[in-house]
Amino acid sequence: MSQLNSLQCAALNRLGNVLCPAYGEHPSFSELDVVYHADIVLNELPESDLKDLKLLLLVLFFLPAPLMRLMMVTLEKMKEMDGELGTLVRMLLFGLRGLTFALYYSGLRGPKAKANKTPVDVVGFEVKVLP
Amino acid sequence: MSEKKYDLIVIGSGPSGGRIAADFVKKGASVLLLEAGTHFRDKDFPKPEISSSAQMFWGGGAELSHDARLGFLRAKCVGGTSIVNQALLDRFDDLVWEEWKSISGIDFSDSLLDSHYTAVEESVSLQKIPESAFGKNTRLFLKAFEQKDFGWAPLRRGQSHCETEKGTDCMACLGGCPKNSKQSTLVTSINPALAKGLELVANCEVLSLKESQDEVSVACRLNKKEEVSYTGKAVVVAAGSFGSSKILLNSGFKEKLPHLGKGIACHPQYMTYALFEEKVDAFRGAFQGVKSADPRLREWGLKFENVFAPPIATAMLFNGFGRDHHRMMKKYRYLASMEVAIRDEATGELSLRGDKLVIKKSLTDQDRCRAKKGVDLVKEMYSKIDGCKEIIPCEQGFGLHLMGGCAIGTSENNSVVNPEFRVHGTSKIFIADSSIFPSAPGLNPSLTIMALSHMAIPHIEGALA
Repeated sequence: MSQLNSLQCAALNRLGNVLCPAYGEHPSFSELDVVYHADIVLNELPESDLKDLKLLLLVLFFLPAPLMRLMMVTLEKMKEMDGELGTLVRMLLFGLRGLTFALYYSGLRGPKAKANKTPVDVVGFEVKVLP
Repeated sequence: MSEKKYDLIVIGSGPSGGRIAADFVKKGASVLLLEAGTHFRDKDFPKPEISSSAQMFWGGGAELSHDARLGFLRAKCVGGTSIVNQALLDRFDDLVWEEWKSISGIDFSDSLLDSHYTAVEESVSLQKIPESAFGKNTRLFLKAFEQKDFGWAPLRRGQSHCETEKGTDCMACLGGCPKNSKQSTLVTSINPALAKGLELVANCEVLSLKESQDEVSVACRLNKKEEVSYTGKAVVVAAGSFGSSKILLNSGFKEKLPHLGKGIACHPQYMTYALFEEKVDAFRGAFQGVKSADPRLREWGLKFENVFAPPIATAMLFNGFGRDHHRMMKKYRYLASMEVAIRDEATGELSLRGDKLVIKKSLTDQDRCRAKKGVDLVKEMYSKIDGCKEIIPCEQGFGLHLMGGCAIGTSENNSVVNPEFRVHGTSKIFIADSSIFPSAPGLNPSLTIMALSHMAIPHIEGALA
């Protein structure tokens, strides 16, 4: 992990828990410690997008979890809006959902993971290629 | 700056560039192939899905339109789109040729393209998916089609030894086929050409071009840092719709060619899932076996795809988040899915903001009507099948077939490339990739990109002579 500092990691974990909470067999986002693998995605982002994302995560660090949830619900409700605000809302949703779901459904876990099963195990996805 | 002067520099290694480069190596030319993405080999294609998505596509997975209503998937690796697509190879029909003829002023027809199609078809292993390989998702697709009596046909894929009947799951090959069965440009053209002297520079993003009296210089950024340049007697720009347009825009061609960057189409695709009582396991085996083949659907500008998506893509396609999202994902093995791709109006436009490409692409009223009609049809067809418990439409539209930006035509006012595939006003810069499409065909474009590239070869050869 090198792209995100500890505050940004904490923010991503809390955001992840809002989007992917513990429920049934699904572990919570933070239980997977999957932020450990965030660089897989972040290293490939265009420089300006990465800069914006880091700033956003830093801001989100100071947002309590209930407000983070409220923010995501509000963004979902506003996503059909026209104009620049609507564009910004959709970009935020795409970026935040994209990063979170990509990590959560990656099948990966970090060294401090508390969950035994990954969400990929939970949904039962498994493909193989014969040599 | 490299002191070597190549006969030909090819920018982009997908279905157009990879093949053109290989053809000229066969002819004994010194060829340099430049590719912005990484050179992955069969055994080291990035896995799992998060890695392939991030490392093999521009934007770290996807790019967005100016208003963030459409996402675009644009491959970035040696072999380009041919590495990450399903290698569906179909010829275009009269509907396309008639439209292209009227827009471009070029006499497009089956007979004009026939020998080029044949040459490409003979150079790859083509197989139709046999009925015995149809998975449950395909069978549900056919049951859905029965409801409306729509015609269908088995897919014709570029593949050689998938062994789905023995247990290979083709979905694993979306991020590159480790068996070298998929007939990507890497397998059919680039690897053999490398053995015969093709020079390949990967992780090399071309920034701009400059033509002088007897050569073309190409300015690039290597490994995101180092600025390098190469010179060739001629250059083929084959970086795809967005890539080729961006290079020309950056090279200052817009002033003389007002149509540059215009006419963007992408066959916007909308996925609809259906939840069934019994397991579907849509990701098993061939996972995509058939296609719509019905004159009514063609007339309505609709193409139905028998597809499914791996977990990250499905999670992104499902609306919302939290517990409801988990509940839907938990039913992953019980889901069937069908995608409708629309033949969109080519009204998009590319421009530059600093170094960044701005993709102005919105659905027109006709596009929206087509998308709604297509999704409504999918819902109606699925809902009539026994065992279907719930329909889950997805709001996010995606463009996978990126076309236009450097349209071919006879006039400089409404095209960028002349009928000899030469950029208007130049003598040594050629384009034959999907950026030259005058409009959206509504059909899988790969085979035609390769056929047009084959057609361009004598003209490029002329410039070298």
